[in-house]
Amino acid sequence: MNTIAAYTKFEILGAIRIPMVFVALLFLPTVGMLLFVVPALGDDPVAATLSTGSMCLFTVLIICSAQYGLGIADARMKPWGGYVRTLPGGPLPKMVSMIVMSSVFVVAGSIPLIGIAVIGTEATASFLDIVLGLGALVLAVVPFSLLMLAIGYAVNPYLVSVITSIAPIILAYLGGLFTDPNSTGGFTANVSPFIPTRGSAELVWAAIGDYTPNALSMVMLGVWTVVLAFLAYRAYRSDEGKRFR
Amino acid sequence: MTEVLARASGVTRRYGDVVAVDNLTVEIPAGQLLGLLGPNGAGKSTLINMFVGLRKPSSGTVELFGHDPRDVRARRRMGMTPQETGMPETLLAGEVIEFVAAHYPNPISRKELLAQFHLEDVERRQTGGLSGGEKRRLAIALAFVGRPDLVFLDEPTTGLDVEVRRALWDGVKAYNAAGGTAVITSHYLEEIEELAQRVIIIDNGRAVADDSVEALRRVSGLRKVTIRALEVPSLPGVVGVEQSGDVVSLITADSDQLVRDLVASGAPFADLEVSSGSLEDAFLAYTTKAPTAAPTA
Repeated sequence: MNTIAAYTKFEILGAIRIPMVFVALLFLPTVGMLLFVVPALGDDPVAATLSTGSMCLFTVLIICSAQYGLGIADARMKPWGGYVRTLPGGPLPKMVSMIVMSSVFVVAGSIPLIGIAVIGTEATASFLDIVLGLGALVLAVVPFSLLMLAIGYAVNPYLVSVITSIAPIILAYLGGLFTDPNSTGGFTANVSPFIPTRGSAELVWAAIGDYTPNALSMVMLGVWTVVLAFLAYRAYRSDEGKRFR
Repeated sequence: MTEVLARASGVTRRYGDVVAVDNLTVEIPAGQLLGLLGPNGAGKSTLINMFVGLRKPSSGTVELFGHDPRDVRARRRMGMTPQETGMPETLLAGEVIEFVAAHYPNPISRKELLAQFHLEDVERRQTGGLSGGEKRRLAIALAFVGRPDLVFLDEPTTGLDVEVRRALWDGVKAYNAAGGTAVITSHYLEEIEELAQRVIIIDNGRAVADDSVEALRRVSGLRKVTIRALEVPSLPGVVGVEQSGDVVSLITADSDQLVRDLVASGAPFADLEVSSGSLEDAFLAYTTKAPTAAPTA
């Protein structure tokens, strides 16, 4: 418990002393709200509400990329990351503290987007819906943090920054976050259910509005989570820091 | 029989085609100050990284307190210095110590640690703003936070001035006197000579010598013949020459013959002295590359 608290404090201190990080994390979802949700769906209460959820999930993808993908790659590059691996802590405190941090980031990152939705669109949701939605967003951290952990540990650290900057956009796009959640176009129907983003998005939508999740998306989300957990564990075990040839 | 705290058995580590550590067997008994000596790239750091669980051997086994070093249980009684260049820059020195201390069941009190390493003044400063010497002291202090039974000090005093280095040596000696075990790598032969009870000389990933400092000096069989002379006489049997001003030291395996040759050569000299070789001479005899000489400050 002591160790977990220490790791959490360590993460928070490291983050709050560089406040520009938050601006960078929220930039793309805010642009998405202003250029896509507000003008295109702002007049439709249902679509606006669900799409705000989509943008919040987009934020989760970016947070996971930065925190797990980049964070792990950075730790592998720096001697300090190697040193921490020699301390008798094991992976658990680090993971728990990162999940706590993610939850804080997710809630803090959703507030400005919800604010834009309230001011600029017809979106409506009860307080309970919002709390449930935030819960679904925190839950969405699980598969994407595992994915980014696997990338952060297994891929050459120099490549990780490239992957983590484009992965959220691709995952959001393939999951249908940039379209109306209720649209049943070919792409959303045929491809999206197989992408983990879709399952997470449908849970968020179900939490904040009138939306029934698709069974296939839910099964695929479960499958992805198991597969990614296995890959992340394997990558962690075989990591020895930076590699040179 | 002394308890063996850590053991590497027939350990080999390759990086691609490069063999960094080549079939090395090392035991670290409790209470010993063990020096690891070797030229750059000899495999010292790779060996230490395997002992602390950062790297897996390609073959052979490494044990730390009876466990695989990658097992958390193995590392509870072990301490290590981080490289000072990689400290989390935005954190205060005190926060870094607190973070490390949270890993151990019975850590040393922060006040005591700060006093021991003369770090009281930097507790409230961000590590990114510390001087090189302060960072180095903090890094070494971190190895001792958890009251370890075994510490790995990799190049502990590189870049420190003589006074601070002396203070740290005293700290290591006090730790050892209280029963602590330490493995020290250093470029400074003087440091190993001062601290270590046993020295392993590593070259090209192999242990080329493993003995006490005294025995290494003796076993190397080398003698140092020192004279004052204006020019270095050219004599057979000289394996090394050190010169500072008009003081010339000739290193040889047979000092008797060298003295006879010196006298017979008729070269002018004064103040003849014959001494047993230093650790440096042994080191030179065992390896091909010379280590960095300790700077005199």
